[in-house]
Amino acid sequence: MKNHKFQQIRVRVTDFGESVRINAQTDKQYAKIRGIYVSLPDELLLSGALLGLRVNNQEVFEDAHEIKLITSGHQVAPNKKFFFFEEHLEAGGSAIEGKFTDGGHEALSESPSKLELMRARKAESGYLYEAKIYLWLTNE
Amino acid sequence: MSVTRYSIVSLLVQKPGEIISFQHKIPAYLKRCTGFKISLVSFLDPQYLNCELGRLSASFNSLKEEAITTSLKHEELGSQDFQELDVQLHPGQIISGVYVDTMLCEDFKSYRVNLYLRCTDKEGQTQNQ
Repeated sequence: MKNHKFQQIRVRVTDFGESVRINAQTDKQYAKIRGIYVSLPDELLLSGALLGLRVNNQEVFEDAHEIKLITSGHQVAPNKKFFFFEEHLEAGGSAIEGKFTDGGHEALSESPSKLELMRARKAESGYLYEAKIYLWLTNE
Repeated sequence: MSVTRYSIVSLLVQKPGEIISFQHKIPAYLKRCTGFKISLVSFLDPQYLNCELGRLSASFNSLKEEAITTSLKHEELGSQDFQELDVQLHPGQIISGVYVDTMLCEDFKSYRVNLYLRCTDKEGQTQNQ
């Protein structure tokens, strides 16, 4: 059996400044959540983006926690990107609840073409962008 | 195994030169504060890059010692490291302090600042007197 899994939670943001509730469950075959990494389609979106996280109703990050403090950019090597939890955070089918808050469009207003692209995507598919939260699950 | 939690003091600065005093209660199960970080949450115009935005000082139930004194700078690639702190907490400890905006510019736009307190439920070693 594999000892590691990167479980993905996808969050679709439909409007700037929107808060999206997250509800998920960790894979039952893994014992521990080792770390977290949040991937956004553009680094400008990091400005003001927040993530609250609860595991089995235990608060890990408050809702006002900035994503920039728990993630890293393209310049960081792939195997160094994760924010590690020092404590034992139970996986094994744990309930994951959270709140993702978009930081608004002010940072993107610096790059009107990107803003335009996102609005065009919304007109096409109904959402501006997708944030991906990766949980590093392990049995080690 | 010890637990690390980040207690956040969130401040909204609405006018130039504003002085915001705050009091924040740290959850009772946390025993020690091991670090802090001040962070600009809002997006600010790049013209203010590398400028000091404000200063913050805070103390833990003691007016004798300001455990935290720091300034907030608008940086593009700022470090996300925490500054070290080693403060034993009493149950339900209150941290109180002041943030002073030093930007004082004419085209001021309100912004949000977060003070992160990295705390643990693990008791620290008592220092020799």
